[in-house]
Order: sequence, then C-alpha cells, then structure tokens
Amino acid sequence: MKIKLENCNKTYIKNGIKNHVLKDLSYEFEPSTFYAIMGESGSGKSTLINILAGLLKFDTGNLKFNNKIYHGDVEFSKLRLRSIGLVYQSYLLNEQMTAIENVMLPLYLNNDLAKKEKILLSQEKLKIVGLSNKVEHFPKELSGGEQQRVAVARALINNPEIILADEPTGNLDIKNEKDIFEMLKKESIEGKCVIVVSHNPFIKKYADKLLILENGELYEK
Amino acid sequence: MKNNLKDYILMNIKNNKTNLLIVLVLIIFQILVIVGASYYSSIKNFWNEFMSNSYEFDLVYIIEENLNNREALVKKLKENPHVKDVFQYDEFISFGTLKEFQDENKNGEIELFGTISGVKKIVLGKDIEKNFEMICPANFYPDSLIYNNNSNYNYKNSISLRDKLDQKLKMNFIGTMPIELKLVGIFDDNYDFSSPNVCYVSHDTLKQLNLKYQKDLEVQEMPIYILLDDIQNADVLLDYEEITEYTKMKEINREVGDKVIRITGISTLLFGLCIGLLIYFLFMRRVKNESRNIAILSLVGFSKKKIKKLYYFEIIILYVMSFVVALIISYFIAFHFVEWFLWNSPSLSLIKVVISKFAIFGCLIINILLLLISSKKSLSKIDELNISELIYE
Ligand SMILES: Nc1ncnc2c1ncn2[C@@H]1O[C@H](COP(=O)(O)OP(=O)(O)OP(=O)(O)O)[C@@H](O)[C@H]1O
Ligand SMILES: [Mg+2]
Repeated sequence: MKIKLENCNKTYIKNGIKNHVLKDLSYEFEPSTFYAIMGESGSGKSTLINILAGLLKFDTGNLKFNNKIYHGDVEFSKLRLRSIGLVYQSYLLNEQMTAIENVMLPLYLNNDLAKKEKILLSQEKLKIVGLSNKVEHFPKELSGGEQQRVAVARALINNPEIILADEPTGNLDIKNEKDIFEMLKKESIEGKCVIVVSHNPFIKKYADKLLILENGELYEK
Repeated sequence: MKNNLKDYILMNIKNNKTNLLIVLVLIIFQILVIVGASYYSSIKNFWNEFMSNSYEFDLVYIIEENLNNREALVKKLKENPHVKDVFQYDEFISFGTLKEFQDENKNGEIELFGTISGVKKIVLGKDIEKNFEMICPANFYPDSLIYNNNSNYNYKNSISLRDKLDQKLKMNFIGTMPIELKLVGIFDDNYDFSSPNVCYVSHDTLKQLNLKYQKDLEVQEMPIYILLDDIQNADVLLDYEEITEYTKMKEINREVGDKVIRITGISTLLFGLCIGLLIYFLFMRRVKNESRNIAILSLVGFSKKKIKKLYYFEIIILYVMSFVVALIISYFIAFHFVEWFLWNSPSLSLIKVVISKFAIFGCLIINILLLLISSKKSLSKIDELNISELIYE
C-alpha cells in the first residue's frame, strides 16, 4: 500500500502561540521499503506518524492510501485495523490483559476467524517475536524488551501492509533494539511499507531510505 | 452482540470493582420500585375488592331529633326497593366475651353484630337462619384490643373454628350470665371487610338479649341504620320528609395507599436521581481512568463509536444482572411482605402482596431511561479524548 502526502500542513496553537510543525509536506511512501525518519526533538516526527495513522488531523493538504482519501474516525479505524500496525515507545499494552490477550485485541473485531484460530494465530505471532514461553504473562511480568515484542506481535497480527513505529526502541537496550529493528526489517522485505522514527543512528544500517524531518519538511538523505 | 466482543466486555466487567457497587445499588433501587409499586397496587385491589364486597360500605345511618313516629318511618323505609335492611342500635351491635379463648394474648372479647342473612360469604357450615345462631370469621381472633397498639395481634395466631362448628359456645354477654350461641357457619374474611373479632347473629337475637340484659339502652335516641342495595342510591333517603341527612357508616380510607404512593414515589425519584448521578460519575471516572486502554483500542482499530458500544453493552449486562437478581428478591419479599411488615395490622394483614406487571414494567422504564441518560452523558467523554496525546502520556 502506497501512502501519499500532498502539501500537508499542521500547526499547533497553544496559549495563542502558533507552532507550524509540518509545512507543505509532500512525500510518497512505497511498499517493500524500510523508511527511517530522523530529526531533532520537536521537529514533528511523532506528529507525522500520528497523521499517517489517522490519529491526528492535519490542517490542509491530502493524505491518500493507494490514492484513496479516508474520512473520519470510523473509516480511519477500519484502515488501522486492517492495514496499519502501530508500535510506540511506551509499548501501549493493556495491563489487565495477558500477552496473548493483548496480541489478540485487534482480532476481537474479526468475525471471520473462530476463537481457536485466533488463539493459534496469536500464539504464532508471539512465537515469531520470541515469546512463545510467556504467552500468559501480564505486562507487569515482562521486561521492557519483551513488552515491546508483544506490541510488535499485536501490530503484525492482521498482517497489515503498513507498519508505523515511533521510537520503538527508545526504552530498550542494544540487544533488544537490534531484535526489534530486525523484525521490522523482515516485514519490509516481505513487502510492507515500514516507517520507523528513531534517534538512534544505528537504524541507518536497516533503512532503505533515510528521511530527515527539518523545518517542517522531509528530506531524503 | 458479536461473540468476540463478549469476551472483552466480560473481562472488563470482571476487572472493575466499581461495577459491583453499580449492580448493588441498582438491585436495591429496583427492589424498592418493584415492591413499592406492587404493595401499592395490592392495597388498591384490596380496597376495591373489599369495597364492592363489604356490606358495611352500603350502610348509612340517620339521626333525627324530632321524630314523632319512629316505627312508621322504619316501616316505610323497609318498603323502599333500594333498602335491604333497616335496624336500630339494639339490633345492631353488642359485645361479649368467649372465655374459652382467653389467654395471655387475647382477652376473648368479641363484637357481636346483628344482620340479615345473605351478606356474608359462608365457607363452612351455613348462614344464620334461626335465633341464637352465630357465624364467625375464618381468621378468628377474639380480642377487643385488636386495633390498639398494645395488642398482641398476629394474623398467624388467629383461631380456626372448624372444630367448633355446630357447637354451642358460651358467651358472657355484656359481662353478665353466660348465654349459649350456636356456631353454625364460618365466613370468608378475605372476601370482604371484617375484623377478626366480629361475629354475626340475627337482629332479633341481639334485640332479645338487649331487652333482657341491657334494659337501659335508649334506642329512641340512637340512630336508625339502613342497608342499601348500593351506596350510590343513598340519596333516595332524602325523599322522605322525616330525613334531613344521612351519614355513611364506612368510607374508603385511601390514606394508607396515598402514603405508600407518596413514600415510594418520592424515594424512587430521589434514589433514582442519586443512581443516575452515581452512574454518571462512576463511568466518567472510568473513562478517565481507562483512557489509556481506550487509546490502545483506538490504535488497534476500534472506532470511538465501537468503544462506546462496548461500554453500553457492559452497562446493559450489569443492568440485566441486577434486574434478574432484584426480581427474584422482590418476589421473595412480596411473598413474605405480610409476615414481615403487616403481621400486626388486623385489616392489612389480609392483603396479598403480588408483584404486578405494572411494577416490573415501570421499573424497567425508569431504569432504562436512567441508564440511557446517565451513560450517554458520561460516555460522550470518550468523544472528547485526544488519542494522539494519550499515546504519549
Ligand atoms: N498537542 C500539542 N499541542 C501543542 N503543541 C504540540 C502538541 N503536540 C506536539 N506539539 C509541539 O509540536 C512540536 C513537534 O512535536 P512532536 O512530538 O511531533 O516532535 P518529535 O519530533 O516527535 O519530538 P521528539 O523527538 O522529542 O519525540 C513540538 O514543538 C511540540 O511541542
Ligand atoms: Mg516524538
């Protein structure tokens, strides 16, 4: 799935002070590509990721997925469910749910699969991220790296065409960071459009395209 | 509801201790509404039925000071087609003691009413046919203090006269020599308005006894009692020039019913308001507390509309649970209502409290409205959540 941003503008207004974060930003993200987005703190990387995920509205411009424009919460929710996997720095797991229940969460909205199939599928994804022995653990009972693996498994559960990650390794050590990047890389090789925001120069090793967000615009490097 | 979401909702229900509070409060509230409304409608039925069956409601009396020819008026009245019975004080009421029923709870005193036959529904034996025959109520309780607060009345301790049927009972009439009255029948006191300490004999029996033992009774100064075919026709009495006004013996006393309606009505309103506010605040707090989980749902593809639906379903499940429990408890309370609350009231202990459809229906309507308004209002907070900010908190 292609993502196309056309002349996208985003301005935050707080206490009367305007902050023009994205300025006429245009870019086209292609499938089968690992994009690394870097940029100074406050340059608007998270803003961009949330706009791409449909979680944040922009002021002017167009956002198209395979040339289609999506409107409203219901349409974007459906798009996220089927086609976008999201990974954030803070893992964002439901603390009351076990690892497998967290991974299965998006499947609650899937009526085509039987419950058994859902469990099998979730187990399989947890195995891919190396957690087959901690399926029934609650987030509290997992390390940061393990929690992020659960989040990755959840992002992959519906086999989305797009994966967006905002500093997925921000809280992790080098070993875990490497594992996560490798998992994401593998997805891009399998045809997905993977967009990862990171401060870590280490990501350059995995990136097919390195993008810098600066002064509200994206530059390829 | 889609099968998959059920698991999620059930898990949420399980994880939330405040739900227990909501269910509990809803149960109490619904019991109040169901039992209150049922009690009210039972009282209403009780009075309506009693009114149509009780001859006392068709009874009036007249007091005329300058009546020259009392006997002539009585005779004229007896000829009126709307008049079923005419009698005077000495044929109407007296008192006696049945010593064999005296014990620490009962003083054995009964009221003896004079009547024509055919006004009581006999369930055992026969109606009064001859003098010195007597009929008594099925739930018999011979105690003159029955309407006093210090009485030991308990409807469960009423006496069955089955074994005494066709026997002569010794009665001390106005505290004098014992006389004998034959118990020929037992009448249904659930059917009309009867006190448990009232037995009936013929007018003539009373008159004879009074002539003998109460010679000083000034009947001429007492009222004349008239039993009409229907109290609606009472105005025919005013056609007689001797009669200036009449007074009804008994009029329906709606006070108890009105009190019940007022108490349950007001407490339902207040309690309902409190529950509405409670649910509103609890769910608002939950939306706030669970905003992170809501954000998680949102980012894996649940629309806000769907998330709100999850909460609605949760509320519906909680409500259905509380409704079922409340209904069961209400049936139980209604079944024991008389035993628990009305056992010492001679007239109200005859009420049968049954859960009315009207009560259940009313309860449903009130609660659905209550839940709809309070949950809609509190869940609208979900729309105001800013997911993209919550993610970074
Ligand atoms: N909800 C908001 N209201 C007002 N200003 C905001 C809001 N969110 C972000 N900003 C501002 O917009 C700018 C870009 O924020 P953003 O979070 O996208 O930066 P970032 O590149 O992700 O930074 P970091 O690398 O530190 O995560 C910042 O200056 C920030 O203060
Ligand atoms: Mg950021």
